[in-house]
Amino acid sequence: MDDKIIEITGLKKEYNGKFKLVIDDLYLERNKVLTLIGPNGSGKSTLIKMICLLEKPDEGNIIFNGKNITKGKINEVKIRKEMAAVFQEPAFFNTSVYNNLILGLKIRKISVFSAKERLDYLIQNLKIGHLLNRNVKNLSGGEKQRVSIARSLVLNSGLLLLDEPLSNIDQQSREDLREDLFEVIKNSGKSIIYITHDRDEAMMIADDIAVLNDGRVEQFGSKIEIFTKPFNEFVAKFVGIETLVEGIVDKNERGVCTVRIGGNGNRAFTTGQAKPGSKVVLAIRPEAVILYNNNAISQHASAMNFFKGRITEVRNSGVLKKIGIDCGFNIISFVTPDSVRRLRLGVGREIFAGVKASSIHMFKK
Amino acid sequence: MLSKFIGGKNKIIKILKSGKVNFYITLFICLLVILFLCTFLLSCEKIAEKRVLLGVTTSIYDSGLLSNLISVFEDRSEYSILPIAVGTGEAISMGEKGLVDLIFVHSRQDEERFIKEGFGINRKDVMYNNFVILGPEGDPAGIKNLAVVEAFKILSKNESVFISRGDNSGTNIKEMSLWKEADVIPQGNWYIKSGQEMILTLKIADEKKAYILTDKATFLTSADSLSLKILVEGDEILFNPYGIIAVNPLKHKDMNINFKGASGFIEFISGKDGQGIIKDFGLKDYGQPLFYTYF
Amino acid sequence: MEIIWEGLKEAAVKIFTGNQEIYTILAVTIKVSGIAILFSAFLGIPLGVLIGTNKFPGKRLVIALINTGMSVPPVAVGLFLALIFWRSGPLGFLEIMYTPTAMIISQIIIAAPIIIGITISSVQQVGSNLIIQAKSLGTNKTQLLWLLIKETKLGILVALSAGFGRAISEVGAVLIVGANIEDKTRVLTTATLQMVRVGKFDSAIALVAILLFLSFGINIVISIIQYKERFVWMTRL
Repeated sequence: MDDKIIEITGLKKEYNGKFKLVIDDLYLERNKVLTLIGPNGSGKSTLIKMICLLEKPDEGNIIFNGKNITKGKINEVKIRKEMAAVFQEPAFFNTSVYNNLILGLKIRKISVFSAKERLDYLIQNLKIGHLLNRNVKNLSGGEKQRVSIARSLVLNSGLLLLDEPLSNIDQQSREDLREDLFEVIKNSGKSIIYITHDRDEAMMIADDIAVLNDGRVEQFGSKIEIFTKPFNEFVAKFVGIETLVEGIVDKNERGVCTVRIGGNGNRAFTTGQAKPGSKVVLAIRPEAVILYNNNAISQHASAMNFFKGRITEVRNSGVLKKIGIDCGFNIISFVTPDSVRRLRLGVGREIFAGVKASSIHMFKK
Repeated sequence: MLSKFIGGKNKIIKILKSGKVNFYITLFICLLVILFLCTFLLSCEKIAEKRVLLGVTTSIYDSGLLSNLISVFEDRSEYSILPIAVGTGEAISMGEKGLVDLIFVHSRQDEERFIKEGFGINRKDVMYNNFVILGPEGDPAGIKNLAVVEAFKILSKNESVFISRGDNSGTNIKEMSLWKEADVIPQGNWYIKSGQEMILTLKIADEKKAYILTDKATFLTSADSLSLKILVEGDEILFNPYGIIAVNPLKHKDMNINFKGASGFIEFISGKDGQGIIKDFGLKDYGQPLFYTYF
Repeated sequence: MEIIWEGLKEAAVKIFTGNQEIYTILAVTIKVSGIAILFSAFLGIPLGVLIGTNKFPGKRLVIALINTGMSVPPVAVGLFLALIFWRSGPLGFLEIMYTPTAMIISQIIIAAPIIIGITISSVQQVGSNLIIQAKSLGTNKTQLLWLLIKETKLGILVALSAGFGRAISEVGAVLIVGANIEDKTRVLTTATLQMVRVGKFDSAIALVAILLFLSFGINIVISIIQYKERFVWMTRL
């Protein structure tokens, strides 16, 4: 399905005299979710504003539903009515929650009666039924954002834009809201652009991901691609790959590369198309590192990489334990607390780390 | 032909639906409201030709005499008289510029010059009263019953506190002419210029227990609140005549000088009915008229 | 002290016995200042909202001019208009000198900058986030203008009350262009002045009392409205 609801090409925007946003090619397919992730200040919010026609790009095109909305005579109001946006800091009019919910309908001349089913569904699923008569000023941050989401979704627009909707919400409320929000937007079946700086949110909601950094798109692709095949160090670090090792390609035999890494004359085997002599970076996901007490097993395992090292740290990481190992280079592994006990893992212990060649992702330095 | 028409209509509907035009429509409606208010206002005003602008001196205006005269005149005439209360000097100046249709003042010399220079025509003597010199009860300077010029000389020599109007009013013009007669240039700490109307100036003189020149009418109306007493009166030089003059329309051909209305009022005020009203004015409240008539 | 009490008594008596003179003065006052404020409101509120929420070249200059206009001396306005509307002036042929119309114009010049200026600073409190949100909901210019006016209605009320207060309490402008003509252009302030000039101080105090009462009354009403807004819970439109 190559039906793109929004396509951005050759976009350039400079503001405050210094910051520059450059997007060569970015698109959202109909009824899919595109997540833009990146650190704060990387230009994500500006992009949303340009899509809503609240700001104009200096150069480039935004094509919405086949129409170029950045060139020529455009009726901005009409275009905006085909989108709906939820911003990081929701703003409301000084009246009841209910009136704020239906305000968008009134503005767009949609009869409240015709939207009743949708409205009731959203009120119920976003759990704001008890707040309808309250003045918005008296709501908590989380409640306000729920109302903001409801009032944008009730408009039933083809394109939904959400700019870090959960970022300003306290930790406790965030998980509840995330659950409700994701259910509601997945069920809406609309095309969605979702901005966040939280990797886990992106993981949960995205179909496609674009990683932004300092005004540039570092990588744009499907969720799987981004997370398993990052183009460069920035993306790799951003998607949570903790082990990055520099090396030089020694040999390349039928797609299997031998890479010299680290200080101990270690060699790593990985799949890829690099030429011998080129400088590369190897990215190894912590989840892909298996720890062994005994080297002997290496003969019987399909993993081609076995590194000997000493444990430097044992830390908590969510439900898992993060193990840091010094093999001449640093490698991180996630194991269950159970395994820590079974293998009697502790700082200072000698240990072997095994990684499949196909689990090591290699990219040029 | 028809398709072209429909096409055009669709285009108009498209433009109307765009927010920009709605916005300008709203602004346009606001402007309409404003314009409506304007025309409403203008229609409320009496038609210009029926207005007679009268430049009148404050002593006449403050006495309240004009209200009586104007209401009787307006009952029997189509014109409406709008009195603009200013000092004599200012009234004459406005007459020279054609800003009013007639002037009602008390300064013979200036009135005669006004006519001589062609600014005014149809002058009538309407009424008169007299100036008096007031002073504190003890009369420290001892000017009681002296001749006016003599009294002024003594006041200046003694440096007795004297309050002057210090404005362009008929009273002030008279006062300055009296100083001139006495061959005195009044200046110094004892000579105070109030810059205010007669009644307020009298109050200042009262507070300071000073000497002051005033027209008798104003004195009569405020006598109750003053501790000052009349010390010099009756001298011929204190004669205070009031005259009314129509502004010469020929001097201001491009402005709408209402000569007809002005003349009508002059006729009324110098005729039997007007003079009758003036003769009676103040009799009841003060035992004597505030202004005397010639006829 | 006694004189103040006498004045207050006279004021009460005159109002409740329907004294013609006082009623005429009151009527002219309210007509002149009322129409001036109405005019300034229709002109000034949309203008204030637009200036406050849009960027345009020279915005700072415009706002500086409006702020200057807020404290222009009324007597200067009166003099300026006299020069224009006197028969010798460029608009003398209109013959509106010494009419309520001229007084209304003078009070519009005095009150409009106040209304516009306070509206501007009130609407600037609204915050660009709300305007962005409204635009993304799809408002056109009229809808946005109307929403902003509703959102700033408290500030606008303050603007109107301040404008009206300044209009009914000024004397310099209406005296020069109106000349305080009985039954026609006499308002509370110029009537007070006249009473002082002729020494009728109790009448002067009576008029001042009515003036203060009017001013005070408007402010009380505004305060009540502001107070009620604090407790808005049920606001089904």
